[in-house]
Amino acid sequence: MDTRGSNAATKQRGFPEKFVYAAGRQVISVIRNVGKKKVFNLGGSLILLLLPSIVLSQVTAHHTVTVVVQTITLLQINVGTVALNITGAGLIAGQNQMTATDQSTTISWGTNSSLKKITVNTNLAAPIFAMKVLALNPTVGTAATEVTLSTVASDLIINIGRSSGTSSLQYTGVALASQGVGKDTHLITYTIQSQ
Amino acid sequence: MNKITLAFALAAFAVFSTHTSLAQTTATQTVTLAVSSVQKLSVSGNPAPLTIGSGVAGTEGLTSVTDATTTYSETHNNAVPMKITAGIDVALAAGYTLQITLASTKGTSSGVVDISNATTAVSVVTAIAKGSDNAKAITYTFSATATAGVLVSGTKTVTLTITT
Repeated sequence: MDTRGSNAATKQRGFPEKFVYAAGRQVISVIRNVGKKKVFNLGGSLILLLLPSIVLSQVTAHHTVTVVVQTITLLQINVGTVALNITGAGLIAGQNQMTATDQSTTISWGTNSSLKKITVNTNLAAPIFAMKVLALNPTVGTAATEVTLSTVASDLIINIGRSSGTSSLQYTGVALASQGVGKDTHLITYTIQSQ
Repeated sequence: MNKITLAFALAAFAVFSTHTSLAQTTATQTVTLAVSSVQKLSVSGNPAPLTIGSGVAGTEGLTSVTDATTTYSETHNNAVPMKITAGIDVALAAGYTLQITLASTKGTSSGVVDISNATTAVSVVTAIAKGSDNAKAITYTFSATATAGVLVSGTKTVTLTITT
């Protein structure tokens, strides 16, 4: 039987022949769509893919990445306890006011939101003697005038923008001879807040 | 890649954020102020020489001289009132008298006090309350009798002390 003409006739009919090459060991099978009947052959460990005429593999993939920076505000004091003593050293006879100072404290802060200020207050409602505090040299912001401590928060450093900074603090204890002897213990609170 | 592995990969890259804000907005510090017992006393300088150079015929006492050019200042913070005493290093010979008067607003002046023989200090101001007195007048009075004779120029040291 001469099948050449039949084969030729089959080709002429345009039946698609598609060839799949699998990496490695493979069996090459020809998928023929003969119209009513489809035949494919899967062999071994190979995966046969029916490739369309356009690119078939997924070469890109996408993630939705969310980044967030929240408000960060930090405040720190380097010294836990400060002690001032008025002993009369340097006092001139005839003067009623006596003072003692300390500059061992440094305050540090960091903020990524603007505009901030640092306030200060004491827990001591009725001290015997006056206690004052002054920011000496803030690296960022503006030092307010020297504060006489009270239970009401007072501005210490103002106009702090997004930044990190430090400042030395000067405490000054003031006592009058007419007030006598005694001791005050303050718990001083520094607060960084919106201006 | 199976689904579980893919899920972990996504989680690792998904979010660069903290779950809570970093907000240490306050800092506290303990500060103590202690005031000890304090006493201070000073004088402005030395009085001018006290020179007796005249008298009245028939009167034993020569004309005394005074000096009120010096002052003293004091400060103390003690609850118990204090006093100022005055003493002389070497007593004057008989017939010569040195007197001192200290003014005061914080205490009670003892008025004119004879310190001619006060090698042991005597009170000149008492009951001085805590506080300060600044630049209060000191008055020295020197007198002599004709009988005492001539006194060659010499110096005396008068010591003022604030004490309890």
